[in-house]
Amino acid sequence: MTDTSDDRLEREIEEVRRLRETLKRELEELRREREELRMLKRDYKEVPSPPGDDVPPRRIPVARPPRPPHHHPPPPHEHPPRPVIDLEALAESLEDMMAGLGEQISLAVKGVTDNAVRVRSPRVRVAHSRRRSKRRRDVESIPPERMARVLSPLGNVDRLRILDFLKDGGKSFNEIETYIGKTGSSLTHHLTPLIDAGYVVKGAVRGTYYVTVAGRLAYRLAQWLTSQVESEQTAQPRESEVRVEFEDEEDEVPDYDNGMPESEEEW
Amino acid sequence: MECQSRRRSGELVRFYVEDRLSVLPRSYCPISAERVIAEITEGTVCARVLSDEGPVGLALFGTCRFAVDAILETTDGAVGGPVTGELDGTFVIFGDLSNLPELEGADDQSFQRWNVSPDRFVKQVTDILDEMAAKVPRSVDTKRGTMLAGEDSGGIHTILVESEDRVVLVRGDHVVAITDDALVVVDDDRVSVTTSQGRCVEIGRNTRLGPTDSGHPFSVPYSVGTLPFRALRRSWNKWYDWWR
Repeated sequence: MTDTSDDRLEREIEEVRRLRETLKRELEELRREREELRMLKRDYKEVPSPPGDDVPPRRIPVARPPRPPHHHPPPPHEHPPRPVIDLEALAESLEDMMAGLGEQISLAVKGVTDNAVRVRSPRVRVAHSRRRSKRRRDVESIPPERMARVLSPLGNVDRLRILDFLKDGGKSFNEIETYIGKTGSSLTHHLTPLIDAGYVVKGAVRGTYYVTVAGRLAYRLAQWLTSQVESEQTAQPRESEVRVEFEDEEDEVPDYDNGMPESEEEW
Repeated sequence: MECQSRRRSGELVRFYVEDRLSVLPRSYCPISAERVIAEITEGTVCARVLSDEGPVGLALFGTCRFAVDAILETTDGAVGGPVTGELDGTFVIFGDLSNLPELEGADDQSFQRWNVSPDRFVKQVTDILDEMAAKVPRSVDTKRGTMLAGEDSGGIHTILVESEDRVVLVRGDHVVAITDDALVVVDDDRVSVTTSQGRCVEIGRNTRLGPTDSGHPFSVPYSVGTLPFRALRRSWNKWYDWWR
């Protein structure tokens, strides 16, 4: 019984000792932290505000001796120090350069306008024909026979006058006779090709003639063709014009894997 | 002879075929308008069709030629084309018959010309009117327009309706409707609506939007329709399904 009470007393004493050791360590840590805080406060110097001002005093950092190195082990891999670039200085130098360029351009333009110098340069037209080239190839491959089927019904002034007359709405045979000035088979001779080509449709009820969508289009294109040809024939040759066209079809792109072309002809 | 059927509302629609069989002494145009004309051949045998409200039409056996200008003038040019056809055999006309010529009594020779007996003619007409009365849930208003229904020489069912400058032609599975402002074409595979402003909408397998020249309404080949097309087809079927 006595042994048991002595053993218990010894355990309690041992536990109190451990507790005391723990408290001692914690107290030391607290002291260390307080010291660090004091050191941080010493790094800033209070600047008193001017008299009569309600602004609280400012704190400015004060240079202090470097702290002793920590006792922590160094990291396994340290990165090299990053280079410092002075961006402000770079931006200022760029702004100066741009300002100088602007002044130079202004001076140059001013000189040109003041001296009334007229600079003549050839006109340059850039056409990007990648998308249209396939369609153009299709159009250019139309044979003359096919073109004749479309164009031959239009190759008469009376037929063109009929299309122009029907533009305002459906007309009877008699009305067309009166307008064109041809009667009977002479008029039929001109109407039949237009109907066969699909430029004119004839109603079955009253025999009324109508110009179709294709007929309107053909007539408009004939007008456009006429204007283009006439303007080309009457226009002065334009020697100063330079036409630059990029034929960048995929199958025509040069093979650059073997190196860039050396001469301009290869472009 | 009496053909009757119960309407959906409960009323009875009764069609009677006049006992007196007649023959047309000369050709007769039951429909004659700007866009449509129908002409019945001289010598066609016929019998008046009556209802409770009076005469509503004519049942005939013979031939009737018709032409429809399914042409719409748009701002870009004319769209569509003419449609012609001929009814052959038994057909009926509903509408205003005020310009009907004086009918002559038919004899055996009149029927021998068409290779049909009077009994067979009456039987066919009775069947048609009976079926029509069963499937058309409205009384016939002869003042609103004229309807011509029958079969052509190829056995294709044809219905031609003209009402106030609006024309509808149903020919088999194809439909064309034309007014002053629009042309509607329904064929095997598409529904096409063209307005006089040149706009065109087509619904079909290859649905596309934009102005187009539809060409002849019954001759443009397209393939396979869509659900809207079938819905429109069903609505048109109401008109001519009785004939099948």
